[in-house]
This record gives sequence, C-alpha cells and structure tokens, in this order.
Amino acid sequence: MIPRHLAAIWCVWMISLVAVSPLLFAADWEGLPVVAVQFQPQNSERLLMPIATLQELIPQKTGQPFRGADIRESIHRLFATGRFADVQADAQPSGDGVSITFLLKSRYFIGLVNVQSDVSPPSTNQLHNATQLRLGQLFDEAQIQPAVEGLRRILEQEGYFQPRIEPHWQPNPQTQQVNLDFVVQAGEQARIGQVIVTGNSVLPPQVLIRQANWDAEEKADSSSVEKGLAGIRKYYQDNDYLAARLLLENKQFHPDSNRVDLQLNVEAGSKVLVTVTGASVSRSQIRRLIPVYEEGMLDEDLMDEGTRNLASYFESQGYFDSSIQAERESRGDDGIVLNYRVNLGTRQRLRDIRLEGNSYFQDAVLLERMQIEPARWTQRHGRFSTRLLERDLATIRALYQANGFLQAVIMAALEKDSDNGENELMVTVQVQEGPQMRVGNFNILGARSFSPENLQSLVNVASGQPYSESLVAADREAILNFYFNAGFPSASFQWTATPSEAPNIMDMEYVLEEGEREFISNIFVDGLEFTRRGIVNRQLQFGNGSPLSQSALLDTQRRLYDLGIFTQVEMAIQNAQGQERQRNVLVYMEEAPRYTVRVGLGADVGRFGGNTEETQEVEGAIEISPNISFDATKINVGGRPHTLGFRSRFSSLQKRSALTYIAPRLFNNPWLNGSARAFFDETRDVRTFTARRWEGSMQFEMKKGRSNTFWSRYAFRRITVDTDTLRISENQIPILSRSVLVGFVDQNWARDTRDNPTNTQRGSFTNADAGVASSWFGSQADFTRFVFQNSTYHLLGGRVVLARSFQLGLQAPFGEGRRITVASDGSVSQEILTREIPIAERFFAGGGNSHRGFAVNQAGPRDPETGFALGGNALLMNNVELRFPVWGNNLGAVLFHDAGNIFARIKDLTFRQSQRETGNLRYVSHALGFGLRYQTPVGPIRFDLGRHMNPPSFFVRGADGAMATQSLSRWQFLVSIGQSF
Amino acid sequence: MTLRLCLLFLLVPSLLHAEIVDRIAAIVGNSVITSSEIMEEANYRAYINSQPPVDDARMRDISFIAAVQDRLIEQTLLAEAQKGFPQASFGDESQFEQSLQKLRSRFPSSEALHSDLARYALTEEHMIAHLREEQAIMAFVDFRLRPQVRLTEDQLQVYYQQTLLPQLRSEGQATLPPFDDVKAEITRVLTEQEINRLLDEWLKNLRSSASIKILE
Repeated sequence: MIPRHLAAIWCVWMISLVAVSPLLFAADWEGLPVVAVQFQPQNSERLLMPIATLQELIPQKTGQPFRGADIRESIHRLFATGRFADVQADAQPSGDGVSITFLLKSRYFIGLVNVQSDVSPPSTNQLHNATQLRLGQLFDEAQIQPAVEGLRRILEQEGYFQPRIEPHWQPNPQTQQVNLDFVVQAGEQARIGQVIVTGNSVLPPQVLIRQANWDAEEKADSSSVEKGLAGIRKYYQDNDYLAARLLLENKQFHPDSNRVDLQLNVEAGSKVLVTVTGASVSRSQIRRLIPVYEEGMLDEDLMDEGTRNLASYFESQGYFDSSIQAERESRGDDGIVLNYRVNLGTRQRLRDIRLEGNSYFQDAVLLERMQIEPARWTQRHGRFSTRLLERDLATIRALYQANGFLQAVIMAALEKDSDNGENELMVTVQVQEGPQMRVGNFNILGARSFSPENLQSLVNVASGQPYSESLVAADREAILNFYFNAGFPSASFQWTATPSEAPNIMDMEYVLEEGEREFISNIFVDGLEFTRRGIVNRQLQFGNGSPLSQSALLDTQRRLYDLGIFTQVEMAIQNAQGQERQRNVLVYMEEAPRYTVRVGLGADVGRFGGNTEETQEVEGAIEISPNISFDATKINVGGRPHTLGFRSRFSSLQKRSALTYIAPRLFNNPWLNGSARAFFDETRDVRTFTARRWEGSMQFEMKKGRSNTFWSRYAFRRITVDTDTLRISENQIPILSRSVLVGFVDQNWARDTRDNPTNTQRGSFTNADAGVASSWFGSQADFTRFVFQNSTYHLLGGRVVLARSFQLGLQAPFGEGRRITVASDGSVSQEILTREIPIAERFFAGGGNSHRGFAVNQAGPRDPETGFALGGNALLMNNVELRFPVWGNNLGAVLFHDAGNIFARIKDLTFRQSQRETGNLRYVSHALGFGLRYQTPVGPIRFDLGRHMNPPSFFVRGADGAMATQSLSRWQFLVSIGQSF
Repeated sequence: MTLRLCLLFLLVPSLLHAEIVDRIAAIVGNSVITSSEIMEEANYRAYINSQPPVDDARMRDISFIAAVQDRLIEQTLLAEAQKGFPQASFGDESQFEQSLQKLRSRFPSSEALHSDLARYALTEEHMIAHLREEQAIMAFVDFRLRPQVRLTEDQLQVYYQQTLLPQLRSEGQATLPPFDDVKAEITRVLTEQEINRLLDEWLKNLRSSASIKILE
C-alpha cells in the first residue's frame, strides 16, 4: 500500500514533468551526430520497401549531423513513395549523439473486389464497374460509401429499388492489399407504374404510351424501359417527326406497391419530310442514305452528310459529275421539308487510269493505294469522283514524301476517251518525283543502358536511306516501346535534322533520355480457389527483380486467359502513382465456373433413309433426321487447365457419345497439347450398313509457329457391323460382318494460312495424314493409309473468291491377313484368310462436303448384287468453286465443279472421264452446280444444287432374281452449315 | 517500498526522453505539410508582421495553428496548380532582390540580421526561400487571374460616384478630382479587388476538388 503523501508527491511530479516536458526535453538536436536512422512500421505490418532503399532515399544519413531541414525533406520523400499514409520522425539521445526513428504507417491498396449478387442483370462486370474500385489503386475507407451508392444506382436501373448491400473488407498487412466483398440482396424487382408525359408531345400521350407496349406487369428494368422508349421513338419517326426528343426525366418509386412511375419529357419538334428531286431514289434508299432518320435530329452537319452519301450513291452508278444541293424549307404547322435537289449530269464510265513520270514506284504500287477504280464486270462504271481523286493524289504525294521525295508534285488530268464515245473517262496521273533527300550522318545519343548497335536494329533510319519524317515517327514509337518494355517508363525521345553541305543530304540525330529504371519487387497473386499456384507461376513472363515491362505483363495476361480456366485476369501495378523504383505487381484472377451443361436440339436434312427391304433405294430418300445433344464439361480439373468432357448426340441417323480428357500445354510447353478420348458411335449415314464403333484414343498435338500443327495419334477401336442391315452380296456378309479390332497409329500435319477458316478469302490449307494399323498396335487388320488434301483460296477482286481443293486417299492391306471362320451352306464351317480392310474403315465420298453429284457416301464401288455403296481403298477428289456476293454482306452464291470418285483398290485409280460399261465404276465422275450461301454468326448456311454429268450405272438383282440396270439420280439438293471446303 | 518509488520517480523522465521532432500534419493531394513547416510559417508571419516570436503556448492554440495550416494548404494548392505551367517561370528577380535588400537594410550588419532571425528560429536561407515562394505564387495568381478581369466603364463610374467621392468628402477634401484623373487609380483598385474575389473563388474550387486530410 503506497502511503498517501508519497502518492500525492508522485502525481505532482508527473504533472509537472508533462507540463514542462517540451521545454525540459526539447533538446536542440540541431548539429548533433546521428548515430542511427531506423524505420519502424506503426502497426504489425511488413515494410514492403527494403530498408536499404529507404536509407538511400532520405537526405538524413547515419554519421551526419542532425538537420531539421533534412528531417523535413526525408518525410517529404518518404511520403512521395506513395507507400505511407503517415510518417513521423522520433529522436532519442544515444551516447554523444541522437538516434532517429521514422515511424511509418503503411497505405493500403485495392485488391480483389468481389460483388456477390442474387440477380443478373446487372452482370458481374457491370456491378464491379459500378463500385469504381480499381485493382492497385489507393484504398481509403471513404471510398466504400460511394461504391455502395454506385451499386445502388445500377440496381435501380434494373428495377431493384430496395437492395441490401453489405460491404466487407479485409486488409492484409503483409501485402498492403485490401480485398473487398459486397454482398447484394437485390430484393423484389419493381414493375412499371404510371407513365406521365410532359413537354410538347403533339401526339396524344395515351397513344404514345401504347407504343411503348408496357403491360401491367412489365418489369422496370433497363431493357424493358429502353424497348418502350424505342417504340415511342419509332412511332414519331413513322409519323415524320424525325427530330423528336425523348427523355426519361424521373423515376418515382413507391415502396408500398413496388411500382415505379416514369416521367417522360417529350419534344416532338416539327414534322420533317425528306425528298429528293432530280433523280429517282426509293424511300428505303433515302432512309438509308440520309442520316436524319438514324440520328433523330436535323442540323447542318447531318444535312451535309446526307449530301455526301447521295453523291457517293450516284457516283457508284456512274454519275461522277452529279451536284446536290440541300434545301431546308419551313412550312409552318406543316413542318419542315428537307429537299435534296440533284443534278445528275452525264453518266460516265471510268475506262482507265494511267500513270506517267513515276520511276521510283511501279504502277502497281501506286494503283493499289488509289480509291478510284476503272470499270470492270463487278463495277460497271468504275469508281470516281473529284473528291476521291484529290484524296488519291494526296495519298501518292504522302507516299513519295515518306520516301524522301520532299518536292514531289502529283497532278491529274481528265480526258474523255474520244475513241469510245464522250461518256468514257480516262484519268492520267502525272508524277514529278524531284530529287530524293537522303540521310547523311546519323547518330543515336543518350543511350546508357543499351548499346547504340542494339538500338540501331530497332530503327528504320540509317545513313543513305531516304529521309522521311514518318519514318522518324515510327522509330520514335519503336524506341520508346523498347524502353517502356525494358523498365524505363519515363524515357523520352527527341530528334534533330540538319541539312548537310552536300545537296539533298540531311544529317540526323536521335537524343534519348532514359530516366529511372523500375524493377519488380514483389508479385502478389490472388483469386485462386481451385487452380494450382504452379500453373499460374509457369505463365508469368517476369519475376522478382526483373525490369518492369508492359509487354511482359500483357503477355502474361494473354497466357493466363489462354489456359481457358479464368473468366477475368486483372493485372495492375500497386501504388502506380507513387515515386518508387521497386514496384509490386498484382495478378488477380476470377476462376471460370468449372461445370457446364448444354442441351441442344437440331435436325439433319439430306438423302438418308431407313434400312428398307427395297433394294432399289440404294441412294435412300430425302429425309429429316431430328437430333438431341447433351454435353457436360468440367474445366480446371485437379487445379490444372485440363478439361474433362462428355458429349452425346442422339438421332434416327446416329447415336454417339464421347468422354474426352484434354491436357493442353503439356509440361508447360505452349506448343504441346495432349488428349485422350473414349468414344461410342452407332451410325447409318452409309446406306449399306449400320456400324457400331467403340474407340479409345490418345493424341499429342504440337504447334510449330502460327501455321503448322502436327498430331500424333493412337486409336484402338472395335467396329461391329449389324448383319441385319448389311445390303451386300451374301457371300460378302460373313467377311464384312465380322467385328474387327483396329489399332491405328497415325501422324498428321496441317498447314493453315487461311485468313478466316469459316469464310476464307485468301490463303491455303494443306493436310497430310499417314498411318498404319498393325498387330503391333493390337490390330486384327493390317493396313496402311495415306490421305492428302490441299485447298487454296484466291481473292479475284471485289469479294469474288476462287476456291479449289484436291484430295487423294490411299490405303492398302499388308501382311498375311487375318483368319476368320465362316459357315458355308449354313452348316459347315471353314477358316479363311482375308486381307480385306473392314468396310467401316474404307473411304466413302459423296454429299455436301466431297462430291455434290452424289448423295451422302454414295460414290464409288457398289455391291454387284444389291447395288449399295461399298466404299473403297482409294479416294480422288477435286473441287473448284467460284464464290461471289449476291446481295449485301449476307447473301452470296457459288458455282461449283466437283470431280472424282472412290476406287476399290489403289491400282483402280484412273483419270478416265467416262464409264466404260455398266457396272465398271472406275472413272472420274463430274458434277456442276449452283449454291446459295447465307452468312450467320456461326458460318454460312449452304444450299447446293448439283447435277451429275456422268452418273454411274450398275447392276442390281431385283426381287424376281433377275439383274437389272440402275443409275443414280442426276440431281442432288444439299443443305448444311459452313463452306464445303 | 521507498526504493521502488524512487526508482519510479527516476524512470519516468527516461520514458519521456524520445521526442517527436517532426511529422505530417496535413496531406494535400500528393503533397504533405509537416509540423515543422507550420511552426516555421507561423514564425515567418510573426517576423514580417513585427510580432513576437511564436512560443509553445501559442503553438498549442488550435485556432491559431488552424489558420497557419490553412494558409499553407492554400499555398500548396496554388503550387500544385502552378505545376501545370512547367514552361513558364513566375516571379520577378528584380522585385525579389528589392524585397531582400529592404530586409537587410533594417540591420547594421548581417550578424545583427541573423541574430534577429534566430529569435524566430529562422535563418536567412529560410527568408530567401519564403520570399521567392511568395513572389512566385503572387506572380502566378496574377498571370492566371488578371486576364479574367473585365471592368466596364459603368463599374468605374459607380466606384467613382458611390465610393471615392463620398470618401474624399468625408476626409474634408474641398476639391474633388475629375473622373479622368483618377480613372487609372480606380481601375487599379477595382482590378485588385476583382483579383482577390476571383482568387477566393478559385481557392474554394481547388479545395473542393482536392483531397485534403488533416492528420493532427
């Protein structure tokens, strides 16, 4: 127990100490030696900046005298790093000097922002954007409320006026990051209540509201509201109020009824009637060409744009000299008339374009840069106007100047071609190139971190090269990009050009300022729940200590997206505004939903048919086969970018299911992918039989560059042919009906340079596949197979494409063959040796993707008794198509020629063009035809009509047992999706 | 027990030995104002206004500190705005030299000047830095705001009639100068008033758009 008088003395002592402590202990630190400078975090944080970096940064150093000004400047510099929310300098006597401690309170930065909502729309992305919180930005608790307000606003747009939004945030002192979660319970979606129309609507409000088509239970979401407003706008347009203004001014929500009243402000404006006089233009063309309709307003700029559009339209029809005057006339209550007065002038045809005086550039180089075009069969009058010609002359002039011809003069002369009538026009472009300015001495100065030779390889400018400012601009971009990607974000570039004493020579210098180099200090990865961290690490194109490179960040982002297991990959620099050279990189990912289930319905249309008893139906009949498909997929299997998928399809034509495992980027090689598949298929797309196939396969895919891909495959399958469905000679049934195990190894190479695989205009596709089935691989049938395909595509002009494709397939059995037991005369069994390649392994052709003179899989050898297609061991096919537009961008047509056939054996291959005798099917079949193509987002829908020019005739045993002659039909009609090749 | 109390008496002073020598007082955008800067500014104002040096008691006056801090915040906001014109240099060197000379001429020697400044914990370098900064800010404000001043003839007349003449009359001036004689002076006065008004508005805008945080 402390005596009372001593406690009182102690209190007085404490109070006096505190009262006078500033005076008593306000030691004059100035000038005292600083024995230690320390840095201490204020909370239990880790200092992300190395101590050595901090010590180097500040002017107050250990061993130097204490200076108040240095302490102040140290605080400024520490704050300027952007890492610290507060800095305090404490001093304490230490021996003969003073020890200084900087207390640092770390700043936090925004990390993962997760918005969990029980409704959609708005989408996750919209909600995320509404918070205005960006990865890597400085975090302040004051940002939470505006984020919540942003969420509230976007939910109200979708009709949710009473949401509950709970924000949570968790700072991580180790990374200085704060992850934020917003839990949104949207509540009940409001319905549209009353609609109040204000302003000068002219048309009755009740009529307008009816145009919106909002019923009593219409949801008050953005799409319903916009659709309604669009309906009202369209009504005004249809009634010629082209400049009507519609504004949703206010939404009044009533919580008791959960309805929202809409207040629309409408200004109808004047009626606007658009007319064109002096030329015949349809109403639909006027609506397309005059932007007043689309923009919903009437001003000078839009009127001028309408004039230009009309001029282009008439130019395309050969009226190169048309003049158009836009006149606006107000007719009081009757509205405004916008009249385009057209004077078409003479219809002309641009016959030819000549170039004179050019020697540095060939004609082809200049012509391909010109927009005016002479007449050709796709453009009967050519393309010409004085405006286009002036642009072309400017383009050619710029081309010459970019190559050092600073004094180039480009002019054009127009001539009427008197030999062909006064309506034929000829343009002569006269080029006076002048002297070419070249670069004399050229130096790159200021490069400290890279050798001039290194930089020289990046630039276009060099001694002796043509002098061109556009080349300098390109060099500037190349050099700055190089420096930005090497960790120099503040690099700058200047250049000078000085005329040399020698004529037409310019001396040049590039002066660089590199600035400070920035490096990566830490890499923070977040957002992984199922994915293995190692998978992400292997995609990173940078590491701790490497220079901060924007291209490496973008490359990493692309690689992470390519894994196919993330819906979002965000990358940012922590504290981007701060002045520090050691940067932390943030990599935040959102994993995609792992499970996907799809159910689909569809139909196949073509010449198929059930297996009927009627043997004359060798080609089958036109049939629609509906189908249903079911797919289930799991991605991110085992935390890796692997996919496990199940696909199935059922129809009257086909039953198919497959279980697939795909492992891309094997051993972290982006060019090596592996897959394994187990597959069951029962199909009757060949009329001759129904086959069941069970197959397991493994495949490795290697991509070499952009165009070349190699596959190595091993497949093991068992194919059983349903004997009851075999439409072949009886003596063949025992052989061809046996189920056969086939173990097949093949190597495939593809080279693809097509510009667009679904609708190719340029490029080529070449594919070669060589394989062998052998007992070494568990196969009961031994044979080799080789298939080759080459397709090329040529853009002729306009959008006309010449496409051609050649296919050759060869397969041959080898070895002794396989032994099978057959019963002859129904009772006695005997063992025979056969080298027949199983019927299901043979080549089949015919149909929309091979030969359009035949129905599906109907080409080639036929059974001598039943007449059904047997397939063969050799395939020869050549296809040529001329593809051209018919109307707009969506409707096109083709003219095609398909030639080729299937042959029983390789030695049966022939180029004979006609059938020698009935039943001899060794010749090349030809088909000519026409098709229509309609473009859809998934590719063109194809309608083809083919005429078989030399259909085969063959023998068929009739029901009466007598042999009869039958021919395949001449006409085939085929429907499918995608181009034929 | 007595020994423990003695040890406690001796221990407390050592616990009070570590001292905060400087810290961030306010954050204005990307800049900071430290406690030492507030102290220095307060002493500078006291010096040029011929007031006694600021003591610790005055430094504990919250309203006084807030006023000094506000002034520094405004200077910081204007300095930030000035960074938007990197090519221009503000401040007249001859005017600065004049102000410095005026200061020096008040003392018989540089030692006397330094001794006087030391009472306010200031040095000649401090004074030079403050003078330069003030001049630069004033020149920048003038550069930005003077072109925005538009005075009409009516405004000059109204000032002449309603402010200047009554003032001269109240001072007992018998002969009142004609308008044309004082027009230039009226223009100068009204321009200054207008610049001040625009400056207040500008500072208000800068404050509302800037992020300002007071830490102590």
